Amino acid sequence: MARYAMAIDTKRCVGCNACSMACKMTNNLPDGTWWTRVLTEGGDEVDTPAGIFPEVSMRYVTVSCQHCDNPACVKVCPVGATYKDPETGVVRQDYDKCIGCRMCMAACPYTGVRSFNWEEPGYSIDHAVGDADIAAHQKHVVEKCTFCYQRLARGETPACMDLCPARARHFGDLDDPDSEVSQLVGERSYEQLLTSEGTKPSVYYLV
Amino acid sequence: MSETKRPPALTRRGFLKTTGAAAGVAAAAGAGGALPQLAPAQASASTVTAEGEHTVYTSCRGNCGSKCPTQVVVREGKVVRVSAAELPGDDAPRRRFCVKGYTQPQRIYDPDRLKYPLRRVEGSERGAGEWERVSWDDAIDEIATKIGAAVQEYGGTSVAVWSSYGSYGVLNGCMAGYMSVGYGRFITALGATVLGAGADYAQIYEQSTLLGISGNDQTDIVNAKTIMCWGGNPAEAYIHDWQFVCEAREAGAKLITIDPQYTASAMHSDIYVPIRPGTDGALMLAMANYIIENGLTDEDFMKSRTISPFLVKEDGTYVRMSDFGVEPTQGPISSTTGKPTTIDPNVVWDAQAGEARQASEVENPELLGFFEVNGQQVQTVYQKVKDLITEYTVDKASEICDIPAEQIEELARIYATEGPVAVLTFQGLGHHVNSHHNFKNLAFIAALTGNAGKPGAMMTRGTCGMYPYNSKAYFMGTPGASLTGMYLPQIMETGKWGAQDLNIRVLWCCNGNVLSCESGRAELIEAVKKVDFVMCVDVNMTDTAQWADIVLPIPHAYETQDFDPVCATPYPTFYRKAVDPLYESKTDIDILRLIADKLGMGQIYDKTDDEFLHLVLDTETNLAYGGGYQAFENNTLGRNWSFSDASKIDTFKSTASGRLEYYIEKPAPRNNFGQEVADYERYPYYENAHEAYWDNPLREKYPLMGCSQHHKYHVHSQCAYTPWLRELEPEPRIKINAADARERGISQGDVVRVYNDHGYAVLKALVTEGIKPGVVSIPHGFQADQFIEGHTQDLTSVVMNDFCSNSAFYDFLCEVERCEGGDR
Repeated sequence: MARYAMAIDTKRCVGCNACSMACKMTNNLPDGTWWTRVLTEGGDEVDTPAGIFPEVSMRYVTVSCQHCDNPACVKVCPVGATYKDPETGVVRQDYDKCIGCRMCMAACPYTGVRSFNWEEPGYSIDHAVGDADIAAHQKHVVEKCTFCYQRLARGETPACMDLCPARARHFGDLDDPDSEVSQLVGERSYEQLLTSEGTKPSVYYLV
Repeated sequence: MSETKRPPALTRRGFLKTTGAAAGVAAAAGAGGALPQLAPAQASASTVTAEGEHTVYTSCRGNCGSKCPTQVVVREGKVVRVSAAELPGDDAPRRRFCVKGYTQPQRIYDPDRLKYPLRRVEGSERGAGEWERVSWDDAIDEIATKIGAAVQEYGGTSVAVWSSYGSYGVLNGCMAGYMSVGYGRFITALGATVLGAGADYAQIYEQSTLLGISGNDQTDIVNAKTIMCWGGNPAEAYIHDWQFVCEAREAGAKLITIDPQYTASAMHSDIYVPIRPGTDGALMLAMANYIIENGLTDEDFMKSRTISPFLVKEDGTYVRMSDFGVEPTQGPISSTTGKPTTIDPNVVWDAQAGEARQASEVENPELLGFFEVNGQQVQTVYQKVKDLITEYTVDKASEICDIPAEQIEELARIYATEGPVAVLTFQGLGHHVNSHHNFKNLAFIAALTGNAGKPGAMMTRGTCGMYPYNSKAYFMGTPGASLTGMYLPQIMETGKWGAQDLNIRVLWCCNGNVLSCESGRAELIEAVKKVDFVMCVDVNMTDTAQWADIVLPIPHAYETQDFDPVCATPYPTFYRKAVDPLYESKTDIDILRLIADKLGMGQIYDKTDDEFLHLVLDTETNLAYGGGYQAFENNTLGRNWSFSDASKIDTFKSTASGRLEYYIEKPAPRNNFGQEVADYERYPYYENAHEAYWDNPLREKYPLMGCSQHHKYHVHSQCAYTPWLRELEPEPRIKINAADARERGISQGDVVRVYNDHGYAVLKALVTEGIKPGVVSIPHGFQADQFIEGHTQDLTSVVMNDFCSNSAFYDFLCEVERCEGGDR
């Protein structure tokens, strides 16, 4: 039993998207699909600040499935395709069960962390990249971050953890008080996304 | 099956992987004093991957200079995954990779790859993009015929090889324009002309070559108390330094960014100084004056570790012991000339003795003063420089740089009193015609305050040295002229280089994309058009390849065996073939072999690639220290044995005086074509940029100062089309301040035309508060067909500083207007 969580240090994050790209490659994400993205907190466009130059401010927030303790998506899935894995706390998505109703997308308050394959997934190169043991992407199915379940199964960490150039990302078991994530969440100030929704996300943004 | 098996709880091993990096940083920071290693540490050839997969160690070949050691996973004969290679022991924290590195599987199989030799369709214009596939035999025949005819009629110099920083491979690369077995032997056998890079040479020539400054190792950034991102942007442009900046900050260091653009480094900074582009040198001199006037100098450091007390004559040369009849002695062999150096010691004024004496024998030399030596009036270097820069007061710099006087004073106080200061420079300080002075000025303020030569104090972040190699393997004779290709327009116009005739008939473009990544594209293209025959070798169809008559496909880095001696980490790159070359691609050296054979000079390549690698790597010293080829065999990450803890701090070992220098006794231009050298090339100095300065009357017509940036989703023009990166950043957009946009009726995303007398580009606007009003930034790296019209480098010119011959990418003024129907 474990309750996996991620802590992301916004004081280190520079919005470089290395995490997004490691995810994209490892999970062989179809063209146009991103399971983790970098959002700019600042101006109205990516990489632009708020304020009037030079009195400006900006912050990057990397966003993917929050693997909530109280996931809104699970409650609304009519077929049980979206479920919370009791062993790991990971919110999972069974592509074979998914009927493409997209109720989960509507219920999830974290817009954009899930995507729906309206068409047969397309790729700019001919062969599948990434891990050999990932589930194949399917048409008419909702997909999202799996915390790289296949890698957890091998005792590894998610691909976005492979190498954060800023060393801003931390992953571990919240049920283990000695884990790095537990320690950081205990010691540092943090924010979580849309706590008012009552979803109890497993991603902590250290501030 | 759409699910994988259930994982066990995260294992201890997996957990340690996640925490190892942080623990390792602490270990490295406290690991001073270890003995230099006599044997290379070795990362074992780990191949712990899923069934049917194997791992190959190599490096990314992006020309960002990072050379990230990479593990490449191959499945069913294809590259499927890449990751930062784990580095052993104390080097673990240096593990590095970036968003671009992760796209390598896509770059290898990119539909954009050149697949077979192409010839310009007969009768079509150069640059028209009309190509036909030809066989290798036909392509080689044609190239050899053209080269043969040119050499016969006009001599070897009529063949010019034009390169940049695409690869430093010892077989296929072009370090310094020709330093490889492939190109070196060909060029020196023919006596061909070497056309090297202009990009980055303000810094390379002034700071590295003339002042001998190498900077401290990146792990030493953690020892700084103040970090200044000044011309550098570690959060985006050299992201591998960023974790060390963070660590220093978490220990209390102050972060300052001096930049007209509000970068991610600026975002995290305690102080953001929005300087006007191209004026940094004036800021440095004002800081120097403030530091001197307020007694904030470190006199002990100045006396013992800098050239400040050296006596200098009225003609600008040093007083030396030979002036007192002491015969110069012979020093060690110079690595650049291969000849013994001459030791003729410098002289200082001994305050106690009241006389001029050999510098090394005087404990307390005068820092300031005029003296008489042998009947000649002399003064100290410090006196001379101090008197020459008085014009640049805080108030004057405030006007030039558009920074409040109080902020300049604050910067000067922090720099002088809150050290050690790590200044992270790089090319934000190097892309104007006046840029090279910055590096003398920076060395001067470092000399005044002791912000160099010790832990945490640096004037740039250094590398992990050069893996020793046998450069004799590159030479069959000597090259013809060796100069920057940026002079091609001048040469094609005059048929001369200096006093010599130079009639370039064949242009061989390789290891770079000069018509995208050097400044003054329009003028360079006009010069290229005048050359009889142009060929280009590259992995992808580039802006440069577009202007060739024949284009030849070469392999991606992971399809190549080669060695790059430049150590960005302690692990130099041994490129290994993870997969066989795709399509019909051939390596540069194989192409050169075919052409040399046709020309009847096939004997210059009398060895196989593997044998050449032995010849380059198996030097006596390398072998004695357990290095050389064998250190990299069997998929092993070999370490640079010559890089030790002692090499992490630049202690001025590469200067002639062994001290920090900011004065150049005998300044010689990098490319000598008989030009005048001004006296101010000797000392810290400021002059306006060529075009981009505030008081330029041309601003009435073109009020905006242009610049660019080393963007996080580009490695210069590499990755220009990489689909995953273009999903993140689909097209070029010019950054313009919201107030400037408003004045011009430009809204977010409008199509705009940016123009000046050099040329123009049409692209979308990125309206932002993240850039100084009056400044626009146009992205670099996108190719011509990715702009609606024009190109970034169409706005720039070939005008360089003729002392250092640097491409002056940011030295332009322009105007921006909304295009008719600009919201399309």
